[in-house]
Amino acid sequence: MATPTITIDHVSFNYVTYTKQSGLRGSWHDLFHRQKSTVAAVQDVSLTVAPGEVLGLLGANGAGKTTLIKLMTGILPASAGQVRLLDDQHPFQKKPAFLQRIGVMLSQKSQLAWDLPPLDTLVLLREIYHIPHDRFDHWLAFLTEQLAVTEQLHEPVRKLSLGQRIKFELICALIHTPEILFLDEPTIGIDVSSQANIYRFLQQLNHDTQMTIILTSHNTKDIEALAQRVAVINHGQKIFDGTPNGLISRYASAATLEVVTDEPLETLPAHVTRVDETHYRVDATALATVPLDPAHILQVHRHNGSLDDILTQLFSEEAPK
Amino acid sequence: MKYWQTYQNAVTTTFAYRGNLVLHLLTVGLNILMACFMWLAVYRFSGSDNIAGIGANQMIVYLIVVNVLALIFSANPIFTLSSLIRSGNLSVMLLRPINYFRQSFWTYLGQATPYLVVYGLAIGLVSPIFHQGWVYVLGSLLLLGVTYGMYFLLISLISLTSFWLIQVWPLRPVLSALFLLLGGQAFPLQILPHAWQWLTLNPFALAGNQLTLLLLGKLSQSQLWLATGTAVGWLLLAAVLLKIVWRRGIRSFEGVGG
Repeated sequence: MATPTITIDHVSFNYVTYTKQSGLRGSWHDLFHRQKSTVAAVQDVSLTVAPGEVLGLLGANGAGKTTLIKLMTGILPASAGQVRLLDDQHPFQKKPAFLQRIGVMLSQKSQLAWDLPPLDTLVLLREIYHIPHDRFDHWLAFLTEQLAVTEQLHEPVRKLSLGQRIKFELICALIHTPEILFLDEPTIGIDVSSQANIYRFLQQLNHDTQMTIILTSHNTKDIEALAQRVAVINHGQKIFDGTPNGLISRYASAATLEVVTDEPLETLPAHVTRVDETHYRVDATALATVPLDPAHILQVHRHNGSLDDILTQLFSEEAPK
Repeated sequence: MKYWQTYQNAVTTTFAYRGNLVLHLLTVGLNILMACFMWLAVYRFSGSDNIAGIGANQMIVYLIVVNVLALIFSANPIFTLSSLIRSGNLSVMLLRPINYFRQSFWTYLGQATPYLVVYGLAIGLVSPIFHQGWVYVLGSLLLLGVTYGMYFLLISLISLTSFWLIQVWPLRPVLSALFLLLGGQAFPLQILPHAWQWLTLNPFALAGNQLTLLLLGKLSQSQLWLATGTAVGWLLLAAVLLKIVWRRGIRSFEGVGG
């Protein structure tokens, strides 16, 4: 087995926060006696990622997935445990040779200079990463063409649409051809056609260059389209590590099929219950085949068998005491 | 080259909002006019044409130059870093193989370039510096460079409070007041009693008062070397403290939010 590109060994991260009491009296009290509390954002997480792998990190808001990315990229120091990326054992030191090998796109933290065209930021990145001019020109032309933003290269960033800005953020993260690409919410707020464009591009990139991709998203479509493996983080702890299908089969409840037909059924077969006029629920545990005429089936899917359903169920569970 | 590109982007950004730049210059112009009228009134009512060795016409030139210097020695890095920390955008800077302060310095220089050009032209065209021999000219350039670096490090050091303070905007009036009073923006510090003349060597005075006197040709060779030596001292102190406080601050940075 190849040496892992990323090894996270029993890593924890805690930070101190302050609670504020409400009202004037509370504010007066807080002025002299602030209430501190320690939050365990990541607790004893271990994980390895192989070269060329696409790993999806799933978790609710505040679950700790972005913190985990910040630990891997060296933005935050681990409170306990070890993070090792490539051959660097101390990402927090942020050595230039290490930073040269990773690309990070934090969708809510922009690399782009707001008042200047994206090209100016990209030229700055060319100098920062010491990219030869001809390679830069060639690679930039390829990236902008693939993501359909060539015409926007010279427009001030403040005049771009959200989708175009996100695509340029992605280009900024890729301009120095990193070995590991971290994507935090790469498709947030962008339309389905742009999403599909990004999925196709990232799949191709991973296939052609064997770039390792770590991806976090609330959009399960991102994970389904890209991730070969998923790790689910809940309340700072890793609760699942495996393939997307493995996650579904592990957490899906009893096999119940949801069927939508093009017209109401005159008689209900055994083990079939009506949800509304053309929507039925079939207890598949008791049957070998679907007891409905296939010519009239518009849609069939397993109840509680989608990533969305499973994650909703997982994320609503209470934090372990 | 990477810092040169940073510098170019800062200059371009400064000119991106032309209206703001013009309004800012107009506001500064009004402030200078008010200060000039006030001082002319002081001269008229005192019945003297010389206050602390400075004539009325020289006072007007002093006020113009010191206000241009106040534009060059801005406190922008404080608010830039504060905004980066509060928004969590500092993460983006930390992930680049670049020294944050070097990049910040070139941005600082880029933002001040239009005013540096004005100051440079004033030195070249009207200042008597070039009539005082090449040693004095070299000493003047050294004082300019060291003071610029010292002031940037001092402001950067103050900017690190952003790691612990949620809002740093209350610092803006404090720093303006410090430059106004200790920097000699409101009045030349030379009018203070002799016992208070040591104030002319505080960092704000080096940036405002002393560089204005330099342009006016009112710094003797010995005063020039004293100012340069003091600026080097402040620069070293600020550099050491900056390194220590940055290390502590960066560990307390949480990279706020997603």
